[in-house]
Amino acid sequence: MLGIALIAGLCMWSLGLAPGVLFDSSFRFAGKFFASAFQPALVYEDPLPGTPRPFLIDALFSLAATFRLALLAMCVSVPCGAVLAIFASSAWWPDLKRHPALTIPLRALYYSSRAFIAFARSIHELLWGLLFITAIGLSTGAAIAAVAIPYSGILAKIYAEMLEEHSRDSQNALRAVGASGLAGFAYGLLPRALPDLISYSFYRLECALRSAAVFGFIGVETIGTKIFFATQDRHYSEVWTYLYLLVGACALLEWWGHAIRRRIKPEPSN
Amino acid sequence: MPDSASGAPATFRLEGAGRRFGAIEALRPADLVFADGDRVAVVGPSGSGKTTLLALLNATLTPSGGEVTLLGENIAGMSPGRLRVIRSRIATIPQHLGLVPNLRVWQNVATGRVGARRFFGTLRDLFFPPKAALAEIHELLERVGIEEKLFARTSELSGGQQQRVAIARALYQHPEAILADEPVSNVDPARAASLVALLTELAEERGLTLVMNLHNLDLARQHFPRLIGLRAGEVVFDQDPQKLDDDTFASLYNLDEDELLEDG
Repeated sequence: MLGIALIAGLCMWSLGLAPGVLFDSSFRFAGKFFASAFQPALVYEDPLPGTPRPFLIDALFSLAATFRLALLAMCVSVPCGAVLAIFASSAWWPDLKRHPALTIPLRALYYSSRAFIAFARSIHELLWGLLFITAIGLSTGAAIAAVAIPYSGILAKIYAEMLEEHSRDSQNALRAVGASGLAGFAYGLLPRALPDLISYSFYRLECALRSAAVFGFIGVETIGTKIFFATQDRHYSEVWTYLYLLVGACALLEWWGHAIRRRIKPEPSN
Repeated sequence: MPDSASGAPATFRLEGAGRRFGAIEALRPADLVFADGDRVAVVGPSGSGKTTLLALLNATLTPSGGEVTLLGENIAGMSPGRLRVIRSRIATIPQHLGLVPNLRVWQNVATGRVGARRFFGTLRDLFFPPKAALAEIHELLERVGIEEKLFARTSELSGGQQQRVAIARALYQHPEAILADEPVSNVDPARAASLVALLTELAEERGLTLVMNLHNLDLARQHFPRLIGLRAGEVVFDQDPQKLDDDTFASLYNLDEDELLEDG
């Protein structure tokens, strides 16, 4: 802990910050902001004339829109990630000693897909978002693409690692009785890895929800937009309602993923 | 010694076939014939080459020298497709069973035919099985004593029960031979005897050639009319266990200890 404090101190000193910076005028803002945490709004604090929908309903619709964006992004990322993961994994390869002609194309596929995954992962979805928005303008499509590119890469990397990690016992047993490389992989290895693959995908969906919320700050219509405007208007209680709804949605997703995982994961045998 | 005339029909035939991995000779060149319907136990300490022998018998390994003839066909230079066909006619029960834990028991049995079916055929077998297939699987599970587990998740079964699922899977293949690699090393002694008896009964019932690797000499002696003893990759004996004396059995394991002591 002392080491951490020392490093923090050195960083602050090199940035030219004095310890008092933590306590300047932003502290007053923080105080007001966090005080509102205990009083989240249930109605608009300063309703504009002609707003037809009640605050909470509006918030829920906005949350639904955020979830829809996240889900769409995942609908693109999961298949892309899965295909990339298969290209970037050697688990399904037939015995190369018996099929020497396949060695070069398979290895080329392997290395090029790993390179592509590394590239896709390395740029944060917000950065992709800003790039797209600058280049092709504001749209939901741009937001989906911005999330899908890095997420496909991340999913592909993790899926490939999971495929490499799981036991090859079943796959080898099937190959021993005449299964092809692909059949051994699909019916021997894939079912074993499936609970972990699904579990991780749910986690990514949760992350996508959070990313979609953040995209609200750069112009895509999600709950983040509402948070942005509410903050600007200093309606902190409204902000907290939105935040609690977001937290609730993430918790719900986590519970759902957990329930699905329990259904398909084998219990250890006695 | 069994008749090794090359004209006689045999399920498996090794002629001067051995296998080395780099500098290590896992199995020294051997001449072995397994006739149709033979029930043979292969015994020997760990590292004696039992698993290598079995791997040669289902062509998951090719010999470093000599000839291996499986089901009447010489596997040298055989295309991978043809090898898979041969393998689909020989059932292999590996030591760790290779069952998929989160599939249902009937699905694991159904995967036995994966070698004989096309890719999407197996997909259909595992998700939309025809009634006749399920009925046959149920019958097989009945034969091995666990028919009530038809729809159970495989991971919920005990070790001995999972062993029986693996046996049912082997039978579902409609094989001409069964190779079993140490099927009872992870099972308690009481169950071990009944499992070995089950496999030998099934082989006799259906006229299958059975080759089983075993650690336990007593089990081997009790259930098999022919024993092959391996030590350090070499065939030490190959005959009726009733005709062998206890000294020969002991030598299989004792000499190993002496060698260990010599190396210090």
